[in-house]
Amino acid sequence: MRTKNMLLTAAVIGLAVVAGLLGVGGTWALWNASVQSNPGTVQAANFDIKLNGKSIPADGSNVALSVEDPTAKLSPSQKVFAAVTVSNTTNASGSFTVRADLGTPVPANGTDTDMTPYLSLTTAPQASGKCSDVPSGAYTTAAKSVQIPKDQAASYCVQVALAPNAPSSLGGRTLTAVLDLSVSQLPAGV
Amino acid sequence: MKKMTKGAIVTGLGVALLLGGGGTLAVWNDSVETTAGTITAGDLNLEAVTDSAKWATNVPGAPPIEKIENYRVVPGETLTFTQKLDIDLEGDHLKANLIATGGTNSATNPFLAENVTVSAVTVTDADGRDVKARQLTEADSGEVTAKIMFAFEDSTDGRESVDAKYDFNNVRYVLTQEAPTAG
Repeated sequence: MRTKNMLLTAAVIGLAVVAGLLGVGGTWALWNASVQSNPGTVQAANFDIKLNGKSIPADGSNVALSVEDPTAKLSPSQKVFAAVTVSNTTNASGSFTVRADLGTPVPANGTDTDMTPYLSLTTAPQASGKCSDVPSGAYTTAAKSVQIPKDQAASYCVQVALAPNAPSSLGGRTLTAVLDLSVSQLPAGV
Repeated sequence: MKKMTKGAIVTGLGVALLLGGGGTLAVWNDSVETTAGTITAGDLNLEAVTDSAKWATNVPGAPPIEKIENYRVVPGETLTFTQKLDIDLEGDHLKANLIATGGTNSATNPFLAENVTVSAVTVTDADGRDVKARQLTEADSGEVTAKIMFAFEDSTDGRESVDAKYDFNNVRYVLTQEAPTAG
């Protein structure tokens, strides 16, 4: 009977010790120290390219250009001009140069096929002034490419001309031309 | 006088004589003193070096990034965050280890996963050795550098991840003593 009581007492003491250790937990800890830092939030720049002052739609849909002289009527003796200004207005913090590739203007789908043989669609770089003042020799059908650093812009002129031998039957018809513009970021540091 | 009384008187006289002798009871003895000295505890501490947290870009010639919250990163650019920490370990048999946790993204407008590569937090000493991968001792006390790299991949296409955010939250560094092994 006495032995049984001793065993019972020992068990109770053992359980109490275990419970006590579990309860305080920290008694197992050794020295430790910690510190934290907050690196913050990294944010990507936008890719804001403007065409004639308006942001290019994210879905790549067409942007209408205005002809330089709204009163001008295309004829064998009168050309029609439109200016294209591409602006790199990104908010990137570092250097951010883009390359703008301007394709050759072509008649849009559905254009009167009677007109297309007599059409001349060309482009030329525009340094300053009006497109109608750019020398005729500067206008070519070649695709053009230019690098545009951050906060800068590049301008082109589109010239639409009708051949001298265009028949008078084309009078009163309308033309829609399409000009492909592709803008790509150049590697950082360029 | 009775015999018993006489005997008591004689015994008392004998005891009194013994008490009177005093030192005659001593045997050889000697003593010496030692000083155990003072026990001094070591130290374990970890602190961030003031104003040492910095972001930098890999773009050649770019100025330092003053405030990451005002910075706008572009594809092809790699940003590096560095934070200096001061490790203090004092103790003849003190051993410790360092871990770093956190640095995860929880932004509301996150980058596309394929557009970014974010490294785990690394911590290296002045010799470039990985501090997290080994047991540290008193000799490892000193300044170490924690680093995180954020790469905005140049494979990013179209207008993917424009204006996206990557929130690093808090990065926590914990220096913990390892239990001394029984000798």
